[in-house]
Amino acid sequence: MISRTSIVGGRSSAVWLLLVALFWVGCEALQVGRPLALDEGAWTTEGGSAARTFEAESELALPLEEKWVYNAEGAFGPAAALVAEGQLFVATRQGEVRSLDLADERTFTGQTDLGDAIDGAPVLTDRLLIAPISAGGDGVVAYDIVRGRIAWKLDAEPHAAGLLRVGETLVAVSLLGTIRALDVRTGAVQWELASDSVQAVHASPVLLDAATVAVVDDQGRISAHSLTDGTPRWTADLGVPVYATPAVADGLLLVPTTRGQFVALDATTGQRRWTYAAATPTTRLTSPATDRRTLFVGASDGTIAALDVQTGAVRWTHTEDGVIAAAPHLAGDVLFVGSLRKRVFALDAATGTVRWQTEIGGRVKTAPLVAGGYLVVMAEPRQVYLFGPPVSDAIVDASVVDASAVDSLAAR
Amino acid sequence: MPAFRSVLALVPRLLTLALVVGLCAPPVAAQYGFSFGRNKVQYEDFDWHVLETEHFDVYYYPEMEELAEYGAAFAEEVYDELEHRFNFSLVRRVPVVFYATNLHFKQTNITPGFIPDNVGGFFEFLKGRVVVPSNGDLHRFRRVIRHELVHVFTFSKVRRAYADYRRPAETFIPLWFTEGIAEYWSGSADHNHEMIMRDAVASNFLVPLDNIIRIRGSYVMYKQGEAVCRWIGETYGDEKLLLMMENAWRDPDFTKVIEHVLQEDFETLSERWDEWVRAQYVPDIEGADVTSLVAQPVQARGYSMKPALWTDAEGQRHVVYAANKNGYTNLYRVAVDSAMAPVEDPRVVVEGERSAVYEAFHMFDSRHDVNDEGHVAFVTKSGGADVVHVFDMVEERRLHTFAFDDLVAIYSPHWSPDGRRLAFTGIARSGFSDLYVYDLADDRLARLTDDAYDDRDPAWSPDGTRLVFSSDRTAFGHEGAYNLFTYTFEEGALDAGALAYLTYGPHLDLSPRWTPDGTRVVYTSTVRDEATGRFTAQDLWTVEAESATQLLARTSTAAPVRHATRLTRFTSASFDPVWTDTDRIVFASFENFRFTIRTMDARGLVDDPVSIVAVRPALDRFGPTAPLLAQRETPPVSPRSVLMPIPDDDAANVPGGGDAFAEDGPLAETPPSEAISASVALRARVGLTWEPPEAWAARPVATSPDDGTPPEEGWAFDPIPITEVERQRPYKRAYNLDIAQGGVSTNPVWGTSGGAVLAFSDMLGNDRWYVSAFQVNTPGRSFWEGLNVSVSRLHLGRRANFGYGAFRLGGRRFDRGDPDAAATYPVFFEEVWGGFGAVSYPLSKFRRIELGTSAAWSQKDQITATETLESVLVSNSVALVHDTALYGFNGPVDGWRGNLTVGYTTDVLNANVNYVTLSADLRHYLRIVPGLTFASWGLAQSNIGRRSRLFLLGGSWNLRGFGFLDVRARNILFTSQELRFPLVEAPGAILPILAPFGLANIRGAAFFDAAHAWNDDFYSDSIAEAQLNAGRTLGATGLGLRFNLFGAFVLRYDRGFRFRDGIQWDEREAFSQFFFGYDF
Repeated sequence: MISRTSIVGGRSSAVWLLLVALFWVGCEALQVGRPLALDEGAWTTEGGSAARTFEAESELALPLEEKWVYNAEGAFGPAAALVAEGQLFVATRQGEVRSLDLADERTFTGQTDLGDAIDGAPVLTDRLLIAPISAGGDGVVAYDIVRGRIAWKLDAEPHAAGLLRVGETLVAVSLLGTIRALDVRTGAVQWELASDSVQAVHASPVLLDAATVAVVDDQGRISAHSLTDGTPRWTADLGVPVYATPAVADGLLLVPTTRGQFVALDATTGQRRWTYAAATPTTRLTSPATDRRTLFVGASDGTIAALDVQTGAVRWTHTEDGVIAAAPHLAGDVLFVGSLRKRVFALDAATGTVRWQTEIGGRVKTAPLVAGGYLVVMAEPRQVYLFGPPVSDAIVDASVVDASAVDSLAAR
Repeated sequence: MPAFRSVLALVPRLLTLALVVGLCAPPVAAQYGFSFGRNKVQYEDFDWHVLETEHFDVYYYPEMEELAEYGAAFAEEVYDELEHRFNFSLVRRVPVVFYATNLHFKQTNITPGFIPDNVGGFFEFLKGRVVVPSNGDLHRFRRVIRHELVHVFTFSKVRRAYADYRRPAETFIPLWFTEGIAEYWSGSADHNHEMIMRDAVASNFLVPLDNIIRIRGSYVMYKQGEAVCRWIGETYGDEKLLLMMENAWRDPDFTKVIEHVLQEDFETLSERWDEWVRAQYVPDIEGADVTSLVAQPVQARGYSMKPALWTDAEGQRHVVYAANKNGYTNLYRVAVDSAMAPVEDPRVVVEGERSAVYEAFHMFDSRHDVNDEGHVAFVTKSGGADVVHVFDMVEERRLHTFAFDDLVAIYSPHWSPDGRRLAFTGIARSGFSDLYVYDLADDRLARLTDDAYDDRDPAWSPDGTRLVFSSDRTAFGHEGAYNLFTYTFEEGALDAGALAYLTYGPHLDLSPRWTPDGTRVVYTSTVRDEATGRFTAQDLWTVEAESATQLLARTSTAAPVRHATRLTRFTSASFDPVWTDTDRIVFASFENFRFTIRTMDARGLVDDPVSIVAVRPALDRFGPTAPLLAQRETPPVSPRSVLMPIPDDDAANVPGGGDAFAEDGPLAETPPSEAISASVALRARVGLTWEPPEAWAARPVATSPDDGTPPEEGWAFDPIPITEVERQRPYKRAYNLDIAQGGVSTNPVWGTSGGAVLAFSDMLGNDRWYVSAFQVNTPGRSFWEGLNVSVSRLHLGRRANFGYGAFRLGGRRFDRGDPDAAATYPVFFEEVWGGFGAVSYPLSKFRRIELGTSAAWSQKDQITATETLESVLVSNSVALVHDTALYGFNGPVDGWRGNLTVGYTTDVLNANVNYVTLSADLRHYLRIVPGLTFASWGLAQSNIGRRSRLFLLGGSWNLRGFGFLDVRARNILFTSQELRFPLVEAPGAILPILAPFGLANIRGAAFFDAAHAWNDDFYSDSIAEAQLNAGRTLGATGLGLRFNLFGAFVLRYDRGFRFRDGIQWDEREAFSQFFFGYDF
């Protein structure tokens, strides 16, 4: 009897081990196995570049149709998606990063848990996915996507703002306003500046020029620092809060505020060049998208405005029902915008007229993204929508669509 | 009783379980079964309709269609604004339920509790419903809609944050924050906010931010919460308030969230806020008069309001007022001398809120008036509507009660000088407030105004030719201003006359009363200070009243000038002034969060005023105003007499009978006037000068002054016309799941049981379904034998509430009241199939009749016996229930309640059971002084007949000192006498270490319980009788402690001595009992 129990117990253990193994295999770790090739179509940081211009390298023909919807099991921050080699990397407020094959959501390539909520945008290198963590004790976590393990962690206060990568330097700004320059590969702190008067920072840092980085705190105080050692270059105080990430274009720092003002500063001196005022002073403006001649900004009053980068003159405005809370995304002559009333639409960048629109299942609070021949929209509660040209059109527009994606679509 | 009880108490056990665990406890659930409780009476059978706007489903009834159009527009207007402000949108349509008046609102079944007078509306989480009544004031209606929709957005945004970060919403953000931001974002701070905050600073009851939990749920908390949010918004930016919502998931302790967002420790923030508040209000208070230091008290106890004057036949002066000193609102009178100083203790004139006739006073909203005969006219809610009572203070009896079919709410009746007519404000079923005059002798009601404007507090001039009243029918009314107007009757007419301005400007001019000589009107006023943006204190003013400015007319000549005089500069607020014949002003004062009646020398105030402001026309300040009678078509109002009609001889004796207007024509001709405006202070003493801002001058003017065309109609909000809405439909009941709850338990003796309860209800909360299923696993029995299922319905939408259901119960039962069970081990296996029905008809809020019926087939397998008992029990009962008990923190403190029940139960299968149940349960609470109550309980119950059930006693809630339900008998007599006294109120304030435990109070009790139970000859075995504790007199006496936790749970500890057979102390050892629950 005893031996029988033992045998049964042994079998039981084996079954458990098998189940655990199956479960483990089912939860495929995020591991690419080789360094990523970060070509021109890659989207490796918030806004697509250190200048945060939210401009895609590729264009996208209209109309679009929904290809798939994926439940990411976690909500998204304001700029949560990155793309490289046809892989979509999505960071969630659940603290996970998931990767998907853009061409086919069934090719779920893996996920990893970085510990706690990710609000700010991560950055992607050929080997690392580095994410700011907005809660808990790990301020920044670098994940080695080649080996499938944590590469390093920055033991620091929470970081709600996105990260800025410039070469081998990573700029991270904590919720307490501490600016750190880190070594991308090791996480070693190169220099660190603590805020003299504590103010939270939600806007991601932006690169002004090759050697200068700008940080904007919640109160609208801007400081420019040497990327090399953090030496202050200039400061400016807008006097109004800033929560969305600014952009840099044509020598100007373009700053959206939460009080209806969009301010352009000289990127080298911090002098105010022009100010655009929305109709209502309580309007919250989104991060802009810009092609360096025109900038496009959404607003909580439902307005999308196109402004001349150099003068701030209004080229056109378009008004939607409902709040525009996510940064627009420019792809060629089309501006993609999502709204809190669950609509995604494409505007003609030259005129502001609607060229395409669709309704989805959730509010859009995360900037849409055009990459690999697709439009990626992340919406509440935790859905990733992929839009692409209809299959027949995909062939026609194959010049702008990743070849593997076309193959995949054709196969479907 | 037994079978009846076994069915109606046992059968809906699952339903009861559902109710107990909080599954949408229906408001009148307590009406079923043997229980007490007051009734939420459904006086109206509303014909509900639904109006679908872009974001809302608006529920309304046809009588208030116009109001619903306004409400729908207000909701859509604020939706866009809040979506923008919250940077957030709602993904579901919001159900918004409107009621025309507060009295209709009180009948809602969307919330189970009783709704006090001054609740403006509420947001309910379960179905996300917003429920808002109008009550004649469109501004308040609009503001409350905004307030509740801020709640909707806040709730949705915070819930989204919890869901986004996958954090359990263990605690929601605190009430002070949700209410504070709702007030802050629903508009600029109103005069009530300023009154409370100014008084909090002046009277030093401002609660520190880090201790705000101490005032949770209080009115002060609402206002302080608003001030905190305003401070955060103005100091750190409104964005931080949004961040707090978005970061609520970070910590269950919201103070940590605030610290995280504002990056400062909470103690520092608390100090900063305190400094900010004081910096705001101290300058206002400096140099102002503390009312209690400059005004003599007429009545300074309790909450006393609405003074009126009366001089009796002997020349003795009296002040008649409403007060709440002990939880009930009464009408009092106090004799005073010529200086209005009290010369004797106050006397109760009318006891309110304990009977159907005087069900509820509108203490804050309705004034009363006394004529020369000592007849006080006042309003109470009585049934589904307000009525006007006339009470003879000389004879001390009620003379008349007038109800009017078309009027739901009535406020502030005022006698004409001849005592023949009453003027008052009435709110019709449409929800709009207008002026009415009722001629007692002719039994005729006339409507003086008929529009959407809010007309309040009419008062008759001493010569009987004019009324003065307060109204928002002013050019500034769109922003919520109220000015004073006169209504001059056409000679001999009851319902024809002309309106004219008496004051003019962006003020809140309220509660006017004429001086005895008719030359002035005394009133209260407050105005938003242009420098600070805050309302000034609500002070006493007078305005010259011999002339008034006509509406709807204009000339090019200079217009008359009137002077308004500010008499006081108080730290807080004054209300409802009356000018006495001895030239004093009697008024209500708010100070130190109390309302008292005070008096000041009027002549002295007039001779040394704070400031004098001229009210005169100015063409460039012209603003359109309302016409006297708008085009809104409403059915004629018909008077209805009444609960107590006027006797013929009474009518003949109405003083001054005949035409009151025959002697005098309309008061001095109204001077020709044109445009109307206010101008600047002439000789301000302390600088209360104001210039109307440019915005006022730019207010739309109907026409140019010289074009000869009449000015346009007054201001109006823009409604959403229902005719333009495509989707408007009658309401159809549809049921949504309110809650589903399940559970499993296991026990080595009783085995495993598990089940679930589902509750469904319709959008209006009138109809509820409960489904429950659980299974009790009994060894040796199949799954089906232990399955318990019930389905029941409660309908609360009509005056007669009813419920019915069907059930199947099976399993092992432990029933100490079952006569078939063994006395020592009353356990058996029983299977029951049956159904039940119940009707509860409320006679009033305090009294109801309950009918119950049930039929059930039962089969019992007794464990200690071999036979199986089968029966089909049919039970019927009728009960009369009365409850006027007033609850304190730990239980009833005043009033009484009783339940008389007669029932009959029979076994229609075998005639084994056949008995009559008689039960009388009476409980009386005598409040000796506030806080000290003597409670008496008498209970007599008897089951007469064959195989009747046993009644049960014993335990902490009735017969103390004995085991729980240890006394069992077919007949019982029981009494309990208990003295309840306070020990420590708010222990946390004395010992802060106790504060986190939520100890609200510690009270004591001295008790004496006695019971006698007997079974006649049912149990022939004396041992069995002894086991049942029957056949002897039992009792206990001792002392107890009561600990109230969080204002909701009461822990009870009793220690005393038992006795048996009279006062035979057969035990020397004291017993102790510890349990929880309210006092009986």
